[in-house]
Amino acid sequence: MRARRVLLISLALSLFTTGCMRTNILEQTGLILMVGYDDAGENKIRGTSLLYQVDPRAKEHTQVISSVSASSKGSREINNLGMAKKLVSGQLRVALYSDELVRKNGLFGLVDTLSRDANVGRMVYIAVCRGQAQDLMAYRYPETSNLGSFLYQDLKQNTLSGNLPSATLHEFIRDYYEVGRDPVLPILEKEKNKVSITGIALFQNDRLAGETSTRNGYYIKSFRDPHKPMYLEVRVKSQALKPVLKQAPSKSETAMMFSTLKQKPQIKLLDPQNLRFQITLQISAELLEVSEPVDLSKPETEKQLADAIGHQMSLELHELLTQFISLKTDPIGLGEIYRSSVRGSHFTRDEWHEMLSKAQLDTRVEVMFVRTGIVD
Amino acid sequence: MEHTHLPASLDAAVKQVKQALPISADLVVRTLHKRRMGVLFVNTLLDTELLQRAVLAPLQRLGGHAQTLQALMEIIPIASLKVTDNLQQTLEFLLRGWVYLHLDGIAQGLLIQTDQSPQGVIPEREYAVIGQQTAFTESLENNVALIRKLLPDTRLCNESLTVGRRSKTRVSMLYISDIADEQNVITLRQRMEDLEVDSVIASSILTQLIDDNSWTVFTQMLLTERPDRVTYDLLEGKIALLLDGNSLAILAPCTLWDYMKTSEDYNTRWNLTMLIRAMRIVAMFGSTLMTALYVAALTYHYQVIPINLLDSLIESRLRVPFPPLYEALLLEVIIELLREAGARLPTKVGQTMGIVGGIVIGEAAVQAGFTSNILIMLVALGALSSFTSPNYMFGIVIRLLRFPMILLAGWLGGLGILLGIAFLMLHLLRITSLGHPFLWPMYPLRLRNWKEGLLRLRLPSYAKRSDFTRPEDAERYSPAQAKQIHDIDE
Repeated sequence: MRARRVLLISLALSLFTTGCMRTNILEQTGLILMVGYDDAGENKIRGTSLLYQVDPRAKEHTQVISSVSASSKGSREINNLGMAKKLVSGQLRVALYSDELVRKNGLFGLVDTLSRDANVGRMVYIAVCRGQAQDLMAYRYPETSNLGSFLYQDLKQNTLSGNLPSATLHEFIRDYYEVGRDPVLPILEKEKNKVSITGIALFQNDRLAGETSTRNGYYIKSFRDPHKPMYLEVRVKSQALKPVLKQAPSKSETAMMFSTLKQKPQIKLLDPQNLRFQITLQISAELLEVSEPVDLSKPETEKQLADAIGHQMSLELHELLTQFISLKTDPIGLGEIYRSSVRGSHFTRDEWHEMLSKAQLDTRVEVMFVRTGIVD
Repeated sequence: MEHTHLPASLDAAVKQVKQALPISADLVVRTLHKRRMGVLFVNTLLDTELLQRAVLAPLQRLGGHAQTLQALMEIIPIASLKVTDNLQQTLEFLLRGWVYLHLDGIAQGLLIQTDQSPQGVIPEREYAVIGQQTAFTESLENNVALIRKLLPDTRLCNESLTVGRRSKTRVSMLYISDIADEQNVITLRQRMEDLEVDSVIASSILTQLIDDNSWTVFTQMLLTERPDRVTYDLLEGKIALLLDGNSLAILAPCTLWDYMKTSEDYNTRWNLTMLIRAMRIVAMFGSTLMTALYVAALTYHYQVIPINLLDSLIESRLRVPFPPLYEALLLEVIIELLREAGARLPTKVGQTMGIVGGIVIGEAAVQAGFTSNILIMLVALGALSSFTSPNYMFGIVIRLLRFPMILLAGWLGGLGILLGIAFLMLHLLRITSLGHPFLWPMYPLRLRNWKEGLLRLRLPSYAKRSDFTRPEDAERYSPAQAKQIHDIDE
């Protein structure tokens, strides 16, 4: 009985030894919604934080502060000196890195510090910024009162239902550590009075290797995340479509818009010696629009349109992959396929990037139209 | 149906009836004319005044002359009379409130209709839309009759006990002999006999005197005012205690889930009930944790707040001078004050309290920058959820549990809430009701019996009784027959 009482008391007291946790009362903290980093020369970086402005009487909903320091956390501490509320990063949604910084220093060091901060979620969106991040963040856009949540929603909706390959902190870190696969990030750009996604940054490890159009995001996403529905507009030479057109084409190219229901990507290593890959993409799609009048009542029309699109897309895909190879970047994970098909293929990331330049690619895209629209 | 002939001898007939109704405190045997004539009846069920006036008085005036049932039928001024030679029929009618008249030496008896419908009141505390509109009154005989009326079963035992040195409160212990666990009956009887107390005024006091753990906030015996609820639970193997002068019956042993059931659950279809019961259970958990989660999120875990909620949360908090913990405690206390004031006041003034509470305190507190809108909503929602508890006592328990949760959340955040839940779980695991685990069938795990707690399945799945009390009569009805459905052309 005595022993039990001692045990109980010591258990109860042990609760106090945990101490009181550091409180972060919501309205007494400066919530950072977005951070941006620029190269400030002399091995220093300029960290810019966009804060949630809590005061409902204030005109602006955000506040932007920036400072120069040797490290990203260091710049936050300097920013903290000028704040009435403690800066906390638990509501961080978007991290922005200027292209100059990414090209010069590599991204990993800056991203890694975010990923090791328990306050920062793994679903933070990462993006590359064309030009200075500070300029993009400090500008007051007439259409958006809160740039942080605007960009978060923008990236989120384009990732979930658009052609943008998902680029969260988690995915960046995973791709970085994976041998035979490189990360991709969206490129944000300030255009006059608004911000938008203007391209997709291609990486070699964590260094910016090049970029491609947002439209090509479709192809990248088809291999990285094939289950998401997407949209694509394909231009085909009108000449090729002649049999199905109702009248003589008015333009030399016919544009066709379709939304995909699902993609089925397949990468096969045909010849390990010569690094010969066969890359196929099967698409079930719904035809939305054709710029020239076509007779959809005929069953063979659909087939011919699909074939024409497939042919064109196959060329585009080949062109895109060739660009990847010339940039020595591997966003769709050819290296993973190689590694999993060839026994004992130990290579480092850099070795793979060298090997990649010798790769030969056969591409094929098969399009099947499931329907040409729903009328109600 | 079985058919047993009644014996000719009065003593033998009385013996047979007593054997068939072994423990029935309300079975009365009255003999007349030097044991030549016997009158048997269950005294809770019949109209005593009618019995005296229309049966006993003519019989006494007879002076032992009439020797045949036919002659007796001539002198009894009651419309419904029945001659029977069947013991089973006799028992059935006895339990319906008829009087059985036996003449020594005749292997037949006379059944006389003297029954009376027991009086019920409209349920006030446990209302049911579709269910029976009857609640117990404050008369013991009447309450026993209400149950006997729903369950005219020869196996329904009615033991009479007395508790309280001064109050000498009569207690009826009801159970079904081949369903209830005999061990429970013995335990409960023992506890009441051992009770050294001068008075027991209310059934809720009796539960506190005889329950397993008197320290806990959880009541381990269910109080109900509904005869149909008592009947359901008797059929599940529970024991019911009825106190004289009390309109609440005690049911034991109980599990936590019994407090989340209503008798309405069996009146509505199973899929509807499943949804409603699930909602109720979620509401109970939500009610204990909602405010605590708010406090934890706003004090420690600002990370978990969705971005779309930030605006409204911060704006509503901006003018509040207290930290979330004190804000939450303050509001919870206000709600409890309102509830307590409402419960103590007469109905008409109570409505005024509602207006004072809802409009004046709710609106004005926000206007004055005393609390945030969102917290008011959460606290009100929590209070509302706690009122979905079918059991008033359990509702209070839920509201009380919130306070330690809020304090823990304010002290250690999410960790504190988890600690609170862990302590609560440990506590619940240790509670027993008449020695039966309170968390059954979750612990000990009896998957087959989940239908008695969390779930409500189709009625054919209830063919087998739960093994809560290991009933001797293990089946409500044949499981094989429960599956059969006859078509219209069969």
